[in-house]
Amino acid sequence: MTAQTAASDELLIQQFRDGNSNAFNELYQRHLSSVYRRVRYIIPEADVEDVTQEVFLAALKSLGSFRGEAQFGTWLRTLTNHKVAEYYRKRNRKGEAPQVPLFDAMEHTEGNPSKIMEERIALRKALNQIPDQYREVILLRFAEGLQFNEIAKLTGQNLEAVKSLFRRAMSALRNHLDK
Amino acid sequence: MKMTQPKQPTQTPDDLLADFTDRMLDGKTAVLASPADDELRGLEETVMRLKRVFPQEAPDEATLKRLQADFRSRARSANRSSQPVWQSQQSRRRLILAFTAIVILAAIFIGIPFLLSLSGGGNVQGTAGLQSQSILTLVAVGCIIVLLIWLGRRK
Repeated sequence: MTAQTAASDELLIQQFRDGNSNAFNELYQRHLSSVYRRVRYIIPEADVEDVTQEVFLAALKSLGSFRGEAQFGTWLRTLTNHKVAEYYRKRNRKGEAPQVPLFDAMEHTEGNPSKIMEERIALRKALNQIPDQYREVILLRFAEGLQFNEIAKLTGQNLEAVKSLFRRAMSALRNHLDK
Repeated sequence: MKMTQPKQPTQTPDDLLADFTDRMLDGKTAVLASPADDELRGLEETVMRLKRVFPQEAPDEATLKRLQADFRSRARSANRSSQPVWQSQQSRRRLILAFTAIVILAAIFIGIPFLLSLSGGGNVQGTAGLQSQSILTLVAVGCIIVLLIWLGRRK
């Protein structure tokens, strides 16, 4: 979801609208890793792939209505956040536990010691509890690997503001982890 | 003459944490940078924890391929289920069958009294005309059922 691919993304979207279904496959391949990584930070291990696919299916369905006012990557990021929110809404309706049990999570990550899995669950929980703008800056830096100046450009803020937001976000995350 | 040292721009805690995060994510450091500052040290520990717990690398090639294949299959199913009823081949066949049945039934119910009146059955008093009408209707309904079964089995 980087800025450099924006022009090509637009071209692919246009080709898709002109009836070239392969153009969407190209978009999928291009953005799969970043969507997957973002989802992995906030969704339990067992459902990461499912939610990732749901994001792209929603993109495929509504690409016709994408007006190009934002970059495709930004639009996809918003779509991902909606799908994540929908996932937790459904879980809450069903009355499921907020995180998968440890043994369940371990089944899907071979070779990971239980300590890491416990920490991962705790971090996911804390990430889901902090305010949206805090979670977003952490995900952009860690999950998507954007540099602080790229985040500033993307969000229309100056670099100092982004760094300050990041420090406050990490502080909020730490407070939730300590609870 | 006094020598003046050029002043280093002082780094704010925001800058220090951002720099530490950059170095940590680039793999250039694995130790805390601000052990003297309690608050900053705590935040650096959280950065290290995030990096340790969530690996930065993209999913492996096999996972990506599996996801792509799964997505293609899901997209095909989604496309099929979102097609309007009259565009699906099976639904189209059912619609043709239903339409055929309605046309045949209409033809029978309109045509039988007309045929009976031509043959003079309608003028005959008593029940003979009605009996022949019932037999004809039964035969026609039987033919329709056979026709529908035949059409339904045809690929």
